Amino acid sequence: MSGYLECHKLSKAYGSTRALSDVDLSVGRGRVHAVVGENGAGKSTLGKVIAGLVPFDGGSMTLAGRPYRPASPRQAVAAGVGMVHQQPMLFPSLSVAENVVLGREPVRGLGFDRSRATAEVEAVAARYGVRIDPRAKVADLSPGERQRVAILQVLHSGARLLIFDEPTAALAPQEASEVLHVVRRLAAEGHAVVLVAHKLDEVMAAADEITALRDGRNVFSGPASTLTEPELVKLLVGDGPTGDGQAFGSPGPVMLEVAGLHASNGSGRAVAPAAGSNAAPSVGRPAFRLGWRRAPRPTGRPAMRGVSFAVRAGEILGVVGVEGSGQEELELVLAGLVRPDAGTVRLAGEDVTMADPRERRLRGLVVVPSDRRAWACAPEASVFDNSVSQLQYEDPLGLMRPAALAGAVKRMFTEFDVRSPGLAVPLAALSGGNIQKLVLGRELTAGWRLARGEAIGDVAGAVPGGAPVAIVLGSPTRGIDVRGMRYLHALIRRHRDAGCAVLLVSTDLDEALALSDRIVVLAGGAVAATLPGAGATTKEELGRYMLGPVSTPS
Amino acid sequence: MSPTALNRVADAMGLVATLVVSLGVGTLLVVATSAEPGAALRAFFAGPFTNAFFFGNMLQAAAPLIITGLGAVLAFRAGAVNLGVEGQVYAGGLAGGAALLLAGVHSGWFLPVAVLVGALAGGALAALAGWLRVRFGASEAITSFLIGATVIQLFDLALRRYLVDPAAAFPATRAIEPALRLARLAPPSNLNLGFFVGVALAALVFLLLFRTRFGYGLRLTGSNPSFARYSGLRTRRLVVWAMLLSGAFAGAAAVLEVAGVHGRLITGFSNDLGWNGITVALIARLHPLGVIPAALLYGYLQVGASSASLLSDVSPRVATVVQSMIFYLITAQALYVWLRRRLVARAGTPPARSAVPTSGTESGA
Repeated sequence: MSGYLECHKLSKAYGSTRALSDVDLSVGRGRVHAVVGENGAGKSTLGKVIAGLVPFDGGSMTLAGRPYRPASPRQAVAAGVGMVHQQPMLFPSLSVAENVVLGREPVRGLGFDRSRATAEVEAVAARYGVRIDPRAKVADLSPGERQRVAILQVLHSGARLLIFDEPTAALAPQEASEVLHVVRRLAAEGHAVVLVAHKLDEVMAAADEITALRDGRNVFSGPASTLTEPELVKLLVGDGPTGDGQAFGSPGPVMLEVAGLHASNGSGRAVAPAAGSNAAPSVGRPAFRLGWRRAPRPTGRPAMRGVSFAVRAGEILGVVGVEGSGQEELELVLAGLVRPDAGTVRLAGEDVTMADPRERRLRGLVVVPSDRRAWACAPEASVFDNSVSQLQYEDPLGLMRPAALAGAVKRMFTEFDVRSPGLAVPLAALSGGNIQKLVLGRELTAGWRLARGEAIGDVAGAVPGGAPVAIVLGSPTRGIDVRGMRYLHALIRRHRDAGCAVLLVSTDLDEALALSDRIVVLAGGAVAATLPGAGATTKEELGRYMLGPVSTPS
Repeated sequence: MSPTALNRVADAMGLVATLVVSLGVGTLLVVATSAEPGAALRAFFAGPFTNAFFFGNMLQAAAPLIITGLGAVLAFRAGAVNLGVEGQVYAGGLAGGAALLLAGVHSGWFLPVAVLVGALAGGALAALAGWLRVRFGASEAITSFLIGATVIQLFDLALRRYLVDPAAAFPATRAIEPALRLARLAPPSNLNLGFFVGVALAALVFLLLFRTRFGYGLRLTGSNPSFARYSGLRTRRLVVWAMLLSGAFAGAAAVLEVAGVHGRLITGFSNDLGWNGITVALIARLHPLGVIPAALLYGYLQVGASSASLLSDVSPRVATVVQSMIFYLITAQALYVWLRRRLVARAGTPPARSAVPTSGTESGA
């Protein structure tokens, strides 16, 4: 029996780059078919071709037995094909129901029939087990909930073939597993699902079939059950060092220490020290707004309530917790971007609680927040401008010398395997994984003196020159492919082994367990437990503490 | 091609289409109202290049707009929407003009000093709006506009009450003495050194924005202030500086206009230099070198209109309508592009808990 969707020898070239070469894919109804590959292997292109976003050059497709060649996403939707994007484009000021029915609004007389829209959305949500309040405003939703809205949009359009483009890349584990649950449910209801992904454990858990791409070509196609995860890794990247390594020597003196940190959700500027949990949101000066951003709605809810821990030189301390347990505030407080209501931050024994971001860096504290789109890049600015935000400080005269900087940036790109069509294009033209690598590379190499032309190859194997005293990494490998992940894990270990104190804030429990020497579990804004890492603790144990005691309102 | 690169192409094509459409409509208007449309069109579109008088006036009409346009570029690039350029022009004109009239200095070296005085006045006004923004979170778009509107009234008050020359037929001061005025380089046209000052400033602003850390920080603050702060930049200071420079350019342009073209302070001397500077900046897509052709386009249309009304049967009113319509159509398209970019940039960076810096770490800076 042939599949619902059949792709036969699909080819697509972007200029001289071949994104797809003779790719075959067969997806049956009621099946989840995962498409895996590294960044740039062509998996997203394949998804876009099927969704009508990108025309293909060669080959053919059939849908339900009929030739299928969508010239636009609209045609694809009309044929019953819908795509759920990684970062869905939604209207934040509209409700869930309004977003879902957009373009297909039920009308009553001349007006929009809101109650019918809500009912329709509720019906679709109930049928597929999607938990969402149709009346909620999209602006108030978490990334995972927005993902669900995007799924509902596609379902409401009547799609029978759904393409998911790395649906869990930006999500916390709980949210990710819910999305995967919905994906399975869709297949059970008879839909055909294409799951573009690179988290292999998710793929193994959710997919019936797997197609693996490498450099735009099929390297594997078949049932998921015939393959183990390590075999799949090998298919995707070839053999390589697994980069396993345990703690190197014994940890040194305490390098990064936080004590009694309190911060309220969205306040970050409450003036009163040691503010109680009921600190009025209006306390302090009004929020400073640059750009036309909405100021956060301060809820006054305490996001961190007395967080204390210490990281020693030569140690990786993992921080885990369900999303919203205070990790984000912790990162921002450490970066000097949010001022804690109370508590201190010490770096190598010195109080840096009030130091600004630049001073912290000069003292050797590097922080890469998880929310990189908000804090660590400017999507509309050029790749070049996004790459030199630290290199700018290298020139003693305060000048920007394009040629010298471009050379340094290119060396960093080579080292971190950042693939960019050029330095002048806007950052948004890069894939998500490449943006991640660019940001991490830029921050981690800030002390490498790239601008002075020192070869990176020399330092990469050993200690980077001008290595930081402490690094704080928020979800460093989120959205990065297997090869990039291995590289980053090795780099993190190398920093640790070189005597750097590493704080790893991660939503990926496997990663935290594999890398950390010790793990701090945050629950409800407080430290619920400190556990040994590196195999001495199981995910289940972590999970127990993550849910924490039922938090008592203070 | 990436979606963003596609946007750029679409933008360029949109600009070309707008030019074609607006010039076409302008042609239609001239043809409809003229008995000798061939001559009228020639006068309008070729006039600015037919003799030294028109050509010099075209360059001179562009000169102050280059400078106010550069000022707008500096503010907008830093994400600060300076809508008070018009008021900053009047503040600069008043301060610099009063200095020229009242200081009692009679030699040419004082002219650059007066330009500096005007720049300081305009800059102080704009910096005030910037400071209100970073200190109290007040929208600089609104405060700069309101401060500017007030200053325009104060300018008239000062002119009519204290500086007016009783002998003049309209509210104006006495003439500035010749030693303190910019010499005409190609009489009878108005062309003076101001145009070349403008071109030189455009090159300087280009270098400032793209070859210095200060300019980079300014642009980064405009692109994503949270990212700028994270990278260690003092975004509050940068915003105030950007506004200050922006207003200073407006003030300097005003003094050059007063000393070079009018030779005295006149009510309404600015003739929308500020507003047109903003539109010139938008047409230039906020690129400092693009400001030169954008300002020249304005000068070309203005001189074309006067050429048409002088040399053909097109009435001055119709000529002005044609000129304004073409310019504003192009501006509308530029504004559309700018707003869309801004909205896309906003949508791209999630608003949640973004650009709220701590109060303590920066205010002491």
